[in-house]
Amino acid sequence: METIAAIATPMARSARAVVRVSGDGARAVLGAVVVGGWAGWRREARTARVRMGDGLEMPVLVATYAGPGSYTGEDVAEVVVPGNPRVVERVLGAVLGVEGVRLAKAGEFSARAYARGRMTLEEAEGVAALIAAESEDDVRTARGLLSGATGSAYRSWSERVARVLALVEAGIDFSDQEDVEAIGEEELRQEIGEVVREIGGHWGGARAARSGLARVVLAGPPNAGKSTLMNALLGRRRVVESAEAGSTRDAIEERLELGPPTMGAVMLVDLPGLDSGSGEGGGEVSSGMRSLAEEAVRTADVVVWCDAEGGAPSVKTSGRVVRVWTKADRGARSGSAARSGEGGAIAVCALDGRNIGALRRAIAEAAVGGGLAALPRHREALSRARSRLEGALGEVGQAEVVAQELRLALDALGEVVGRITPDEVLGRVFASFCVGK
Amino acid sequence: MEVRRFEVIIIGGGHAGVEAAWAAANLLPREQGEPPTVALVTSDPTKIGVMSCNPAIGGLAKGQLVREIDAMGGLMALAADATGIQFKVLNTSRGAAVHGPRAQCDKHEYARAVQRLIAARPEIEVIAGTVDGLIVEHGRVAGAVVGSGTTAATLEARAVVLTTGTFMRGLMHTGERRTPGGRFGEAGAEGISGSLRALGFELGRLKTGTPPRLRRGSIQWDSLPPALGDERPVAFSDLSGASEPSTRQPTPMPRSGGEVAPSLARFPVLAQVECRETRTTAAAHAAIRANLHRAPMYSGQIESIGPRYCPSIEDKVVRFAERESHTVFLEPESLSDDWVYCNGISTSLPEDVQDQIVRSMPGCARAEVLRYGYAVEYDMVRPHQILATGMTKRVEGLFLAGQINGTSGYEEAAAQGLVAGINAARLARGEGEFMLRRDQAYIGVLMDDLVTKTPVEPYRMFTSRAEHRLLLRADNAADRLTPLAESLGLLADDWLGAHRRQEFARREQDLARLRAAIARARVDGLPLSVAARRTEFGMADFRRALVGVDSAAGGLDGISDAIWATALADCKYEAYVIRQHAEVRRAIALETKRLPAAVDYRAITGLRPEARDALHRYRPATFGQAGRLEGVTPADVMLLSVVLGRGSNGAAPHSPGE
Repeated sequence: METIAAIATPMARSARAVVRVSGDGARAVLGAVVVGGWAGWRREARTARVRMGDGLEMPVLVATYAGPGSYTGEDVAEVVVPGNPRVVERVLGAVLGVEGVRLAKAGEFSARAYARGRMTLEEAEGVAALIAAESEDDVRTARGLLSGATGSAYRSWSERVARVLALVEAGIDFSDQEDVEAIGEEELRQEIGEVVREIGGHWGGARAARSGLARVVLAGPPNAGKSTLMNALLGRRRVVESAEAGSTRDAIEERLELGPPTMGAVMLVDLPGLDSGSGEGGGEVSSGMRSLAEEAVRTADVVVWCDAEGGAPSVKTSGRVVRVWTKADRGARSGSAARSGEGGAIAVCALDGRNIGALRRAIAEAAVGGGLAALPRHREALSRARSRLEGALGEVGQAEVVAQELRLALDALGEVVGRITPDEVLGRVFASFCVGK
Repeated sequence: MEVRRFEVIIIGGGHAGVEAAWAAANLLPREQGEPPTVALVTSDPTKIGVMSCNPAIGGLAKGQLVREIDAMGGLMALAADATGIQFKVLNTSRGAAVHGPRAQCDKHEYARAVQRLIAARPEIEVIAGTVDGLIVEHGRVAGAVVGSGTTAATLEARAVVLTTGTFMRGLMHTGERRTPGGRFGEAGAEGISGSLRALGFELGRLKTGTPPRLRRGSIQWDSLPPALGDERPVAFSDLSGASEPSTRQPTPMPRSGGEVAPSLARFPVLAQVECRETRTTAAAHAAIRANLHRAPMYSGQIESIGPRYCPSIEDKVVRFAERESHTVFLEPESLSDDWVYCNGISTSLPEDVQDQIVRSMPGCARAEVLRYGYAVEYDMVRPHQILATGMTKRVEGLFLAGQINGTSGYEEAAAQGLVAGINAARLARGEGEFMLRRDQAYIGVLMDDLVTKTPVEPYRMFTSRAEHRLLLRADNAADRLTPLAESLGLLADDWLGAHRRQEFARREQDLARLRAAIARARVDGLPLSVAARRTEFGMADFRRALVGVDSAAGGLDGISDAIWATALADCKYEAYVIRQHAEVRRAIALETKRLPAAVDYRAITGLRPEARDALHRYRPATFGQAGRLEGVTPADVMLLSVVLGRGSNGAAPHSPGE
């Protein structure tokens, strides 16, 4: 069985979260992500430090269960981490970075548990209902996201790969036909290279492996009113607000539904103030959080820079920036224009809801307009498609190998926008060439 | 009424029928003093093995099928090698995985060779007659009624393989003229369609066509550019010309198969011919356009669907209107007559239009048409009603193979005949079913496609249908399948079986010897198997790299070109082959896991409606097949595995290769 991994606890702030790994590769995963490796394999729990990429480490609790006495009946490892979604996601990212590990599908741990006889029929029926519900939800979410610019980008890649594959297949299966000429190596290189570049540019190389929704980070000086703004955007009180600077110590993440017209969702992240110095908190985890906060801004897909003065961001980011002039009700500047101040900051007031709608639209525009891969499985599929396309680029001289790689790339893209079957590829050949002696 | 008892009855003497009979005979030896075990029923025994259309065997993807049939102990490759008059490996500019061996055969000699091979088998009795109906009792086949009235006979058997080709309610069209029948001059089979319908089978109708044949003497042959075969012809079968006469021990033939022996000793057997190339012209295209209303495909006279990959000339002219010319190959059909096949102008236009098309082709101004092209419509059984063994789901013991399942091509038919013949014999012996997986053979791809896809046109094999194409090479067919054939018992205890065993043992030894040498050889500081992956690294480089590499088995002399080719191809694809094997291993548990036959898919909550409908209609045998149905997603398969998971841990299908 393939080794699978996923976050086994709800994706929200909580005291502890669990990243679960199941399969023959569970041991190898610990060997790869735990600092100093992992020795032995029995039922136990012990503390360790895990690598989270970019040189970051995190103290965690690791529990191991040897199959067949585990939940799934396979070797299982559970990494218990502080319940901060940002941390959880990075640990999962590190796990998924291990060769041969993939993201678990909806209900897959339970499905394995059932297949191995670790569950009763009644329990299994519950699992079946869960799979149906989760996959339906997944489909709905995907459909919403794919109706926008992101979807048309995916479809365009899929179409272009299918077209090139049809040309390559024509050169293989119909090389004995009068008017079929194999696609040239130059054209092949160019066509595939273009798709590879576009996929790469879609969300940036370093972020390619990361799973999760597009990340929209609220950042700015301490006490700029970020938490108040987050609650206003979410339409509920999720974060403790305080007039005291530095009241937010950990990053907090919540899913934000963008509503029509994009129907997408993003992960909204509230961070501690960034220039608050090192006095805050202390201790290993908190100092880890600080560097994570900076890292979060740097790699965010969208940064909502909150400043009571409507000022410009003071940190570097590779994402798009939406500037917000918070506490607009108190500001010296007057007028109700949505955008005012330097560089068009949006003047919002979380208290009376002024321009919150405009901000929501600006976030949607920045996130979806930037063509971001919105679901973890989309990101995984895209990353697989890209590496297969790169494989094809490395073998342009061997048509049958190129075709093999293109087929796998097309199947990966197909997991997002719908499969283009070998029959359909053949159909394209028949439509464009006169075949048949 | 006379009653005869057999183990297996094969109905139909075409390429599916003879391969089915041959495979069944291999598995059902005739005991001393006992009657034959296999009945081969055909309306005209002199038409057994006839090539109805192009007298050619193999080609792209089809060549792989022929090699696989041979590796499984079949007869098609032997007949083709014995009667080929032009051999050519297609796609040699590409990698070994997509090389497609092809041969044009002498059509008279081919049919005769097949008939000789069949006649040499004491297990097979050829019975002349038309099947009037099937005998089915309690959902199981019990035999068939042959002939009617006073000459009627009842044949009893536990397994019946039905191969109707284009004969089931066959209707031929040339222009406005319609003639009932399955092939020129031969009547169709009328009763069997009704019989199948009465049993509850859902039938469909397909169309195929054939081009006009010309008299060679009436063509200005030498004025046309030649189309040549390979300088060094390559045989389909590993048995053809494989051994030097000095090392071959003439194993005594226990039976009357002596006639086939000489055809193996030397290769090629027959004189090789040249073909000629000509083309259609603007004048012909104008004539076609002016007469489209008289073309059955366009007048509405034919409603069934023909293949897109083999369009008629009228189709080509309509669909590719911008082209002023299409290439036509003129291929001699035999050494003993002067019939020429016009490869490229299949048509059902009226005879006067066919005359115009032909005579406007360069070199053919005075060409005489010996037989006009025609289209034929025929009944088929929609293949979602069979299992990947060829057996129908509705009637136990009834197997279907060939065009009846909606396929096209001699090789596709033969492959199905092989599978159906094996399974029919196994059923008769009370043994479990046998299936090939998609990663084992093109034959496996073919059977799996048939039971998971809705056919929209006659099905033909292409290499692009095989997701494990790099594993399924023509050159390694024996390595993939001969051990399997041996364990199934397909290598009979006769001269042929012994010869195949001996050749394969030698192949394995030579391959091992060569691989041991490869493991020690280095090129430019790299291991040979790595250096050989470079695109430009050819056979000459490969052989050079192994010169002087000492081998424990005593040098590399005497290793055949075929073995060298396999060793090089293995190196070339090694990285991909490892990856594909890993994928296969990952998927195999779910792939071969059986789905219970009696599931009520409509009662499973959580399945999406389209998945429910597809599963209900196709009733897939395995989870792997379920996942390949249109409308079924991976989430649906996971749901199924949870709902049905533990209740269905039935035995995996018989697959001795595991």
